[in-house]
Amino acid sequence: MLKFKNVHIKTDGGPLFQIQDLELKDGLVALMGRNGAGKSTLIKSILGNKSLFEGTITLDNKNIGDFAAKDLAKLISVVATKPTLFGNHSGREVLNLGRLPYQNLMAKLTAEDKVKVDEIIALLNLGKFSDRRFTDLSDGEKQMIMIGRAMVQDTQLILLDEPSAFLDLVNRHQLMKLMREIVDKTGKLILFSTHQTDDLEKYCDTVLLIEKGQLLNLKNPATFKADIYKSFGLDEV
Amino acid sequence: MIVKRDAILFIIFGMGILLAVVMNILYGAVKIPAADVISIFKGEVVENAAWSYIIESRFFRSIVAVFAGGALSVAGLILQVYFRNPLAGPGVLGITSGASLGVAFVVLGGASMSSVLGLFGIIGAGSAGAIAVLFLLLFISRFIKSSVTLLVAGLMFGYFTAALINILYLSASMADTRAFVIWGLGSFEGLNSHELTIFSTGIIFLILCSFFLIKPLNGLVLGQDYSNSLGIHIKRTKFLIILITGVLAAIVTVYCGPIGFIGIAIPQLIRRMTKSKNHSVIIPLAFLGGAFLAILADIVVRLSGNTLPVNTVTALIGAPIIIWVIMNMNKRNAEI
Repeated sequence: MLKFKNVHIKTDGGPLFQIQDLELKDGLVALMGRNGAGKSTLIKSILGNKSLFEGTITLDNKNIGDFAAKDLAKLISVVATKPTLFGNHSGREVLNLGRLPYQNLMAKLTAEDKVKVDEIIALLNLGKFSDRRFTDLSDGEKQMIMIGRAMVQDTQLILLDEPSAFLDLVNRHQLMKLMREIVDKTGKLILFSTHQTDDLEKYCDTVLLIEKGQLLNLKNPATFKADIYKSFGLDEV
Repeated sequence: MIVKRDAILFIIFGMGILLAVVMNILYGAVKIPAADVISIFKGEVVENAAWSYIIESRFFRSIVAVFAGGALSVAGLILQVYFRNPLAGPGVLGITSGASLGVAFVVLGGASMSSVLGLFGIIGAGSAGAIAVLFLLLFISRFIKSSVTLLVAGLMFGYFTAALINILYLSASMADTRAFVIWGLGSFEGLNSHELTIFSTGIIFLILCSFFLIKPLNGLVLGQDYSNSLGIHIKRTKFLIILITGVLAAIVTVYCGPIGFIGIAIPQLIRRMTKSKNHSVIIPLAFLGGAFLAILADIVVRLSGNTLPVNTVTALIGAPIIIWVIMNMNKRNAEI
């Protein structure tokens, strides 16, 4: 599904790291690396930002840069670190926004769209707070809604940029559990960046680690934490 | 489908505008019987020939008020969502000031609004001024992330253009200076049928164009990155927003003067009042809301015997209402 071949991730400040050969099909994939390693830059590159990489990134065998925004929106959805909303939408109304790529000029919400939103509310158990005002929700509930919105967008790939950065321990675990359930129930590919190593072995299939200019592909859940600490030159606690 | 609350708003604003237009035509210093007004609209000859001109003038200024108020409100709505700031609007961001500077260049340079060439020159200069300020704002918005700072920058543009206009005064004739000062007080009157056609056609066209922004505006409430991932072409959207809001503000400013308040207050009210979060409902309601306030303001101007400028009235009517609404609604709302 998502393939990288001789990709060099870079910014205005210079090269960050390279990916020799990598293919991601499905599962829950964590992206780790130090501050400034290039995690967010990689996510933006996957979204087709051509100025941030050299080489070939393909999605379903098509160059990522060749997709029109409206077509890419049906293949990749995004969840940012901290959701910001300008308006007094309810949780459900934020979920509705996930149908935008499928709507006509007047952005009419069809009966099908409503069914899809109801499905996701039921699947992710969002009914407890989906009718409350979004800005009144806790950070954890907001992030659940934003993941729901990505699910409503109905894409095979979901990218999350440090989704648990502002969440407490309980909400973080709920978020990881939720992402695992989505992968198990739908067979989607979820790629999320994080600095937390505790949850990886329990929930993730793969860890991509940016270190020393390379992207390492860690595939053995049992040794995720040890491998990460070793790569960073740290003694595991 | 439009929900009940929004349908009621459509009816209230629609009926309100209709009633206000009828009132504006019937009442004034010269009392004209309703039967004669109807006859004039039917094209029949009435007892007093001057009445036809009076009715035409009252009807025209009502239509100008409706379109001007609607245009400023829609421009303000689009800017508030794009900049994600409830204080944004063509007046606050300096766009109106940019249009004023363009007009000042032409009017203080001696051109007359009554000549066709002068009029098109003024429209062009006003639009260029408004769009130039919008471009400058968008350029600096790449370096300034805080929308409050951006508003301060917009205010600075306003001061800067005011200073440039003051310099232009120095070399202008007394007659041109007087014309520009009167224009600056704001007014919905004085357009002939030819000017009204250009004015209303331009605004209708741009409001129709704003329907291409429905989906982008729906997505932009989540921010530019999110809306991009929802399939919104950000560069194209930015271009359309500059063009539509800049020219809307410019057309109104050129013809009616720099009308304040409507472009910031009405969109804020409408965004709070509507149940729907779809801009296919919010844009038309913002237009009607702005039109309603403008025509109400014009009625007050006329009741004062045309002594009060429109700007004074819009602020007098609207500012207390908005403060009251914000105080009441913020008890249960987050800032929107």
